Amino acid sequence: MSVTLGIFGGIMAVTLGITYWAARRTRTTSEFYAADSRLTAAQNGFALAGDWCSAAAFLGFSGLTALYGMDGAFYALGPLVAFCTVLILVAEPLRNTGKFTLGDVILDRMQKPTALLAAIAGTVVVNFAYLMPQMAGAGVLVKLLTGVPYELAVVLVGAAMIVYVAFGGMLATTWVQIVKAILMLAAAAIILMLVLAAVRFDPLMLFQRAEARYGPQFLSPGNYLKNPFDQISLGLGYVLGLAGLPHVMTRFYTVPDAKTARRSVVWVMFLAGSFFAATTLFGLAGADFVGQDAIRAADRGGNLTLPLLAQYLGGGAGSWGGDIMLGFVSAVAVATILAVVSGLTLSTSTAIAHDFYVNWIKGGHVEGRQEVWIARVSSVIIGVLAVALGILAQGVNVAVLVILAIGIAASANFPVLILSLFWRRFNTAGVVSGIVVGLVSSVVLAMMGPAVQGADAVWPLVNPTIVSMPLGFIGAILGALLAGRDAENESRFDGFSHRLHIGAAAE
Amino acid sequence: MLRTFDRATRENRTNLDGNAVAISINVDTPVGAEQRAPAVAPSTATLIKAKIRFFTPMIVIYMVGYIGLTALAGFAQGFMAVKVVGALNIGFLLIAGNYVLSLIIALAYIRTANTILDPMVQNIVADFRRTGAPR
Repeated sequence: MSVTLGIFGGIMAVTLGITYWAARRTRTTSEFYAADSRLTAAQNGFALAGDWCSAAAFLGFSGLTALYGMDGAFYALGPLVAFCTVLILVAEPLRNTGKFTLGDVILDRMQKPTALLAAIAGTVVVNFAYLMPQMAGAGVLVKLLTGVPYELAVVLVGAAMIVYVAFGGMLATTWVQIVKAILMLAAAAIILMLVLAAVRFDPLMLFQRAEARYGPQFLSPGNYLKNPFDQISLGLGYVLGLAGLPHVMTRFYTVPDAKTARRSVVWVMFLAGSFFAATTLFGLAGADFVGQDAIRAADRGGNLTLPLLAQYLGGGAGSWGGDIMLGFVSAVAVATILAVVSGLTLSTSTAIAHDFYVNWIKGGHVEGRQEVWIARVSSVIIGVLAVALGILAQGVNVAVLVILAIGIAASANFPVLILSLFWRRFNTAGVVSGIVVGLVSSVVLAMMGPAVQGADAVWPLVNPTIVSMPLGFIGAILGALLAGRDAENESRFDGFSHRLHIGAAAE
Repeated sequence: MLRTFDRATRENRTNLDGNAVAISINVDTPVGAEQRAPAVAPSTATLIKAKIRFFTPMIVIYMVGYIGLTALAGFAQGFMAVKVVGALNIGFLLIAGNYVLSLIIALAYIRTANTILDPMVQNIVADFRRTGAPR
């Protein structure tokens, strides 16, 4: 524990130093919201990896594989494939059309405050559904790893996140995410080397030993998600939902042009992809070296598989190497949470300050310096709210919120974004109906499903996306068609589409 | 194959030069309900067509590959459990294949964008600079 606190203290010192440095470079709106769009592809790629790999990825995937075999490997694969959608359909168009947010893109396309309001709703609901379980997870994890009480852990994580975002804006958030990504990859590389050394560099041995100990069913699909349609629904949620997550979209405004945006996606695909693939080997190694019983005894969900595996590889409990490895991995897990909640807080406060206050209430008539001040205040408010919700969430099953965040992103934000970008006839009515139908159907289906109702739920699927995503598309398209044609809106599509494909160079 | 793409790009350039006048006409013409084609300036329309042509197969490949694999995991569990090398089964091999496939798609996208689409964009931008036509 003292090792964890020591390493974590080091991480805090570095990130607060970064924040001090970033705060002196954060004065304009563009600097606060988007790091002045001056990041390189590699920087944004690392930051994307830091943004996207939550504790659920860092700890959860290994745990699922250790306890449920192949289904854990499926959980790890989806988040990588999802970047294909981001790369091909949204990264460059977002960079070319928006300024800081999803709301900017929708407002640019529709020129109607009502459409902007729908985009704000999609952003804030998804971000909070994502942020709340992260805060709750932070409390549980920090308590497990360091012994600090739950409430204090949530408050400490919240305080650090507020300091990063309110003072350092996007620049500090980005570098916190980069530091976390480097630490995460370093931890993974060390563990991978030790695992491979333990099986004499024959990864097949991991499969062999897992099968010998837990039987062939362990390496077959269907141990975690029993319903095949749930498996497909989860996959769809990942592959389309990532492109609808506002805090991921925001990252594409931190680079100067479409070319850098696309290169940063390839960076994150190689970085996160190799990490996700490694978690499958970690899970198998954990099941073999640590054992499922010991993993379950430490945490029923398997979330401590990776720290326990690191401890084993370092020499076991009580040994000098084991303590160092356990401390290191635990500290990286906390850094992981900090990076993700900072990104979410920044994205949410940008939507509140820039989209809601400045563009919706004030019609865009706010002076730049004043807007930065508003954004800083709103990040403090969002942060305090997140801490309060995190404390309230103690002991509540927050898993359904993670399912909701992905489901709403895939069923409301994704259809509306894609249709806004590429469909001439899409209009404000379509934006509103798409967001409403996607949001309501995701929430209703998730609430009716086993995640809330238990095993005897009427609706059999945990993940709503397989039904709610088509409903979101149908709602958006029907809404647009029923509202009738808007010649002025359609004629503006030419200019919008031109910017989308050509970029700012032609303006 | 790449050589063909290059030729196509060069043809587009001549197309663009030839279309410079057409663009300004198109912009001046009010866009009414019946007079709506071409949708965008012709050069941009060519770019969009090229994107649709290159990106559609990519999207179909990774979506079918990934969703197909999750479907196999749900409906063909016996097949996924067939052992190939030692305890390693078809399921894990297909998952590994899907990692590789995603990265190949990403690299194919980058290559297409860098070698075919970016030159088209540069031509369009150069064209606008030369003719001063608004977007």
